[in-house]
Amino acid sequence: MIQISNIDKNFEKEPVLQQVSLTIQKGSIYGLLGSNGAGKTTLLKTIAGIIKQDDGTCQIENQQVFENTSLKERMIFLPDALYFFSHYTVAQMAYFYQDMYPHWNQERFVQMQKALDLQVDRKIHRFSKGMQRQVAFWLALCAMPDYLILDEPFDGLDPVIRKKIKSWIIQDVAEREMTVMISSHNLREVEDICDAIGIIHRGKLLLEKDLDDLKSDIHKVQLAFKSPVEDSIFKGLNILHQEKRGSVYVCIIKGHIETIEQTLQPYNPVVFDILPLTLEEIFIYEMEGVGYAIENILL
Amino acid sequence: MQSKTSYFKKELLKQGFKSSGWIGIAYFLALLLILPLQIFMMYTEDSLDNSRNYNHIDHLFEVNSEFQLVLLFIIPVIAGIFTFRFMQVKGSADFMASLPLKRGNLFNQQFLIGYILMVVPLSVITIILLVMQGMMDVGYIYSYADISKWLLITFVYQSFIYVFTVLIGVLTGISAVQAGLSYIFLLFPAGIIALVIINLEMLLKGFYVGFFWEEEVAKYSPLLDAIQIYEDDISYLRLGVYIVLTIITYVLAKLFYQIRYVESASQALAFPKLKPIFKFGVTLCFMLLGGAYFGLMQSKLIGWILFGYLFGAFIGYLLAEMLIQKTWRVFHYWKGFLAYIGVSFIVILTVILDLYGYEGRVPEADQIESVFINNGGYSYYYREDLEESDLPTITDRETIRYVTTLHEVLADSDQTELQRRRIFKPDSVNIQFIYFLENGQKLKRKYFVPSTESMREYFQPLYESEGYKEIQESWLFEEELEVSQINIHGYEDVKEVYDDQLIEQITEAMKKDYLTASFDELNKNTYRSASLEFINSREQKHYHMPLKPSYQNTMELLESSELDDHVILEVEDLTRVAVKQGLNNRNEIYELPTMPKEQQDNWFITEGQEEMKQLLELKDKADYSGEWTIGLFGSNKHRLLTTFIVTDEQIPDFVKQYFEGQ
Repeated sequence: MIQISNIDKNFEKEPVLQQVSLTIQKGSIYGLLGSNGAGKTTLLKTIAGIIKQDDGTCQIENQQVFENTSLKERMIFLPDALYFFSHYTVAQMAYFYQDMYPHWNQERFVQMQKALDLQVDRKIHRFSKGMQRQVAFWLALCAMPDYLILDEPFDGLDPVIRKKIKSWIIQDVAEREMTVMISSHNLREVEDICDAIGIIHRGKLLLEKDLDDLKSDIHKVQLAFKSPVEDSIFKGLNILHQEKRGSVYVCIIKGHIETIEQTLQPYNPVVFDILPLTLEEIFIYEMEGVGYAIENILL
Repeated sequence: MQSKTSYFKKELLKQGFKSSGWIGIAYFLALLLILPLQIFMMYTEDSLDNSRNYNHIDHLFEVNSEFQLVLLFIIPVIAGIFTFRFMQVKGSADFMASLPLKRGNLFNQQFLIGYILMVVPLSVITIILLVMQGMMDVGYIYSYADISKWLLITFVYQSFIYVFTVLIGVLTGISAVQAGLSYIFLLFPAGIIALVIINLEMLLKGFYVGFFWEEEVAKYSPLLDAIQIYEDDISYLRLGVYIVLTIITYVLAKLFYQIRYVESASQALAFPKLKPIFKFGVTLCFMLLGGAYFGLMQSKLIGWILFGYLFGAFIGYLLAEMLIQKTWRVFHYWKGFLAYIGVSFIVILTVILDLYGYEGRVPEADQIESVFINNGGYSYYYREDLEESDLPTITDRETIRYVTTLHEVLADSDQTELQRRRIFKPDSVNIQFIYFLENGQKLKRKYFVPSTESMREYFQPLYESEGYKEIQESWLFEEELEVSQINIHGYEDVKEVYDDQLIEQITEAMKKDYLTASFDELNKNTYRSASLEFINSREQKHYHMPLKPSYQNTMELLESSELDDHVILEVEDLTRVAVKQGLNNRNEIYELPTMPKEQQDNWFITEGQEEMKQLLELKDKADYSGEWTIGLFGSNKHRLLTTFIVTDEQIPDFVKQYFEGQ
């Protein structure tokens, strides 16, 4: 479990992270969303023990991460701009990882090579961007990390590779309860694999949601009545958004589906549809609730 | 499964050598060329003609010493930059910091890589030198002891420069800045002291820090200090100091690395708190540099010095700001500059107004234990081993009073104003005072006196006192004065005296004459007179004393020994005298005898006794500046004895008439 509480970080005098707190459950995938410069990378590097926070605590399994060798042996951080030693081949880089990470799984390395069909004696910097990304995941996963911290891992990759990498991650999460943290500036990129999402904006964590809770908790309701009704019929419901198109009400309502039905059914609506929302829509309405327009932050 | 972890990561070291190994190889090849191969070439060259003295050296630094120094200055800095390059580049800095290694461990491993890159080549070369010593007959070139000395010195200096570069690297975030600042700070201690001294010399009348301060100051810079290593015998104390400094610097570098922010990569300075220190440090250095430059260029006019400070500080402040901000558009950051200028000019003002009472401080006679005084003669400047405490001093109370009286006058006088352009005349002196006080402290002052003649009443009693004379030519009054030969330099020839008895007589006579010489005799321009050279051939020491016609005892002795030919220039010795106005090329006078007749007409040339006598009399009144050049020709018309310059007022009318008539 990753536990972060009240982290502050300044670059010179400029605050980059302010009072950030979040928790990531073991074996879950956490998506950290935010626009460029929101502080995503800084937060990830703090979790990876690269950067030291100015204030607050950053703990994994109740231990401080910074300068903690035994934790870092079980953690891999992949930056958005990948780093390999210059002129190193895949095999040389693998030796390096093997030397550094005690849980290195050579069997898996050989296995994955067959699947990937990459030559291990080629220099990594000659590979294409997508290939390099795959090499990075290949090496990272063979180190058998319990914690995988990924900064914009899908940025600029084609859908095939994206899918392949996602499947690898999900497999390790399922099999070994690996904990993953992924940052992205695009909700759609990560919504299909994340269990929880946090949105960071200008160094502050705006909201943090469990996706299952979210999806079951927010509803788009379309309503129409024969005769005009008082607005008071919505009393008692948590309306995030409401608009009226002709005689049709479109409402985004937060709450249990039964409560909504019980509240509105007595007014005998002619139309009464409860529709699922896309994750993006949910965030749009949630963010409105806290006073931000999501377009400015994510899209 | 508990995995085995070792402190040193094989693959990390391997990576280090893969990326920086070329440094070690280049170093090895360069050393190979510079030392063993060079020695081998010397050896084969000597074998050809069986000569053994041709290539004798004192120690191994003498073999290609310039190249050895260049390597010593460059290799450790390069090693320090490249092995710690990883922390100056964002991608690799993050990657290395994400590895499961403690920072101290990572630092040590990288540090070790750089160290090995220097030490391994050095060791291999040592082994080669040892093998050569064992197998070839090169013992006359170097010995085993030479090898160990060479290895020790190289290793110690190299280690320090390397560890220092690493420390600077930790404090900065850009490799180029690391390189630049490493060299700057290796020179810095000496440079800043020299700048402060030069500036104080311009601002404070009489400011003086003592003999050999340049050499003394150079010791504070490892680079300048290293230049001296092959000149002197090594001092183990000095090496010990370097070893201690190396260890301290290493500890500091490691500590700072452990608290260094990884995100400092590509920032000019890794610790934000260093920025103001750096900025004002650079501003201060440039301010002093500006003041020194404009002061020295514009003959120390106070206005120009202050302009230099302002200008230098401005440039320094901008440069520092540009480096920190990494842009040249920094002109809106002027508040700090104004604050700096305000404070620094208050400090400078206190110095100029001498609020500390430096200029007027003349010790009371009863506080003085002894005093050394020197009027700018050269006799003390070329003795490397001399220390201030070894200087001959005046202890006689009366003479000390003459000294303090003169000092008080100089401290008050307008003539010794420091801002003035210095015009040297034959009676100008640069006079130095070093007081050794009762309380163990020293007080040093130095003044430029444009004319001692004009301050005669203060200089005369001092110059004529025995105490003063005895320290001006202290060698002459040494108990165990040893003279094995005296050369008498006359106008036409040199006579050598080896007879011990005669030598002793001449020496005693000279002592007597010198001690009784008057202020006027001593102050007379002696540059072109005959002289006696006292030689101590055992210690290879040569002392010169001018031979003046008034030195009665000596002259009589020379006369009776028939050694007095041409020691006093009289008109009978001259065959002709040539005079010309406004000579562009002083060599022209040497060509006079061989000139065609038409060109000789541009000169006034006389052979008349009366005219020659008048011109000869001008010799002792000669000045350093003037438009008339006079040449005296000796026993035959082609032999030029001496030339000198006189002013328009001094030149006799018959010469002027000659040129007017042309």
